[in-house]
Amino acid sequence: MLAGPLAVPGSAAHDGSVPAELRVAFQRFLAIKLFGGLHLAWRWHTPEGLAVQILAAAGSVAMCFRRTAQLGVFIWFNLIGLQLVRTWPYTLNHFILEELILLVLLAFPVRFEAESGREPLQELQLLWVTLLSVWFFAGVQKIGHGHYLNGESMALPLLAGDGSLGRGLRMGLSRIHSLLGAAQLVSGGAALDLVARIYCVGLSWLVIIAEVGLPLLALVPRTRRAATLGLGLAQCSVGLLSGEIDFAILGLGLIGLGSARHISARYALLSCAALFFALLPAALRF
Amino acid sequence: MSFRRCYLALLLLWPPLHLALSRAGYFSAWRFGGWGMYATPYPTPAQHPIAVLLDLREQPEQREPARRVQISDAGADVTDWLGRFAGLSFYALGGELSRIDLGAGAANTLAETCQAVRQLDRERHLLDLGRFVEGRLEQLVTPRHQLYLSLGTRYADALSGRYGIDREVFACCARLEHVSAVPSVR
Repeated sequence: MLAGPLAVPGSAAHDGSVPAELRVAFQRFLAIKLFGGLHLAWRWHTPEGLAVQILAAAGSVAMCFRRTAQLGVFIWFNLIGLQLVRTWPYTLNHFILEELILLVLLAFPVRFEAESGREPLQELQLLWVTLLSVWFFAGVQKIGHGHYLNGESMALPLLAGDGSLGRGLRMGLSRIHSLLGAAQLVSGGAALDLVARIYCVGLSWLVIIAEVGLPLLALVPRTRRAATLGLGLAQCSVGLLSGEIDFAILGLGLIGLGSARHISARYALLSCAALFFALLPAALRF
Repeated sequence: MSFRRCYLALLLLWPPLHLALSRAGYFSAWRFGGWGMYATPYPTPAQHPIAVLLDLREQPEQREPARRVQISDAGADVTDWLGRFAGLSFYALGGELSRIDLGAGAANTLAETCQAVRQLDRERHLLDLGRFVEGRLEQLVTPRHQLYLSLGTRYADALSGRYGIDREVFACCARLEHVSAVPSVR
């Protein structure tokens, strides 16, 4: 059994049942998430699009059952690969991340019983490290590009955003203004502008600190569970605030994969996230 | 085990290298798996409109407002399509020109080039776009003119227009990206 900094939180079972059950739950979650994403991205009213949709549906269904899981992963690996080729060189990072996760699932054949001499956690560990890497380097990139350091990332939607993020930021700032105004702490345009600046820069830095700090804390055994919970909650809040619901549901999946104390709770969380994903395309059509 | 090591090495080494390359302007932070989504603004046509200005004035010092020019692709009006999907608008100053037919397939080429302008090596692709338009204009024997290109954001307009806030108040928002030595349409 693997331990140490790369261990998946709560993975202390010695009979291999935890990774086996988690793998099933994670794979079902991923199958439905992938299908929901591609369903929205690839229109089905052309012959090519219809063929992709049918293959995607077959791959997702296959990924949900133990006997056909590897076939489903293989189908999806090829479909996402096709998407990478189609959109190259403008391929979004999201597709590359999904392809990497499928590569890990493909590289380790499906086995649902612990085998002697095999480390049953290695596959889930790689998935876990992948997620931590995405969070950590997303924060590092935000520092490197400066768009978050100067608060521009929040200021742009605050001033001109039509989406829920812009509306939420404006509502938050107006609340702060009214609170400070009522307390007579600030007066005059210049002071209010300073508050707005601090608001934008503070929120941006909070995002950076969470993205860089929490994955590092998740590597420390004592803080692993709390950090994972923090990552999941942060992802849920950002997703809900920005209106990107699938991002929030991914947060639920992250909590499910990493932080819940009991295997049944993790399984339930992953299943809930998968159910949300299954309903999302239908909900967006209405 | 070797797969695992290679995979971990990829996860650890590629993102920092990606950061260095994307900062140097070789590609967008949103591409190629460096996990830089949202590290830079997403380059949508609505956020980064591209304008082509044909200056047909005989006396350049004469001040007059720019007017919108209709663009056709083999007879079909594609002005709105280019505006919505490529964020591209054509304007003219002076002269009588109000409609240009850029020939078959021009709309798709323009849309693809505009996408490249927002994603990768901006200056080079913006000049490619200019050369493409100039080539078509030469075939049409357009009167003597100067061609200007501009890539910008609408956020600066939004500051003063929608919320009545001076652009200088939020200096960080006024992030206009123009090709060097090419004047802006606005």
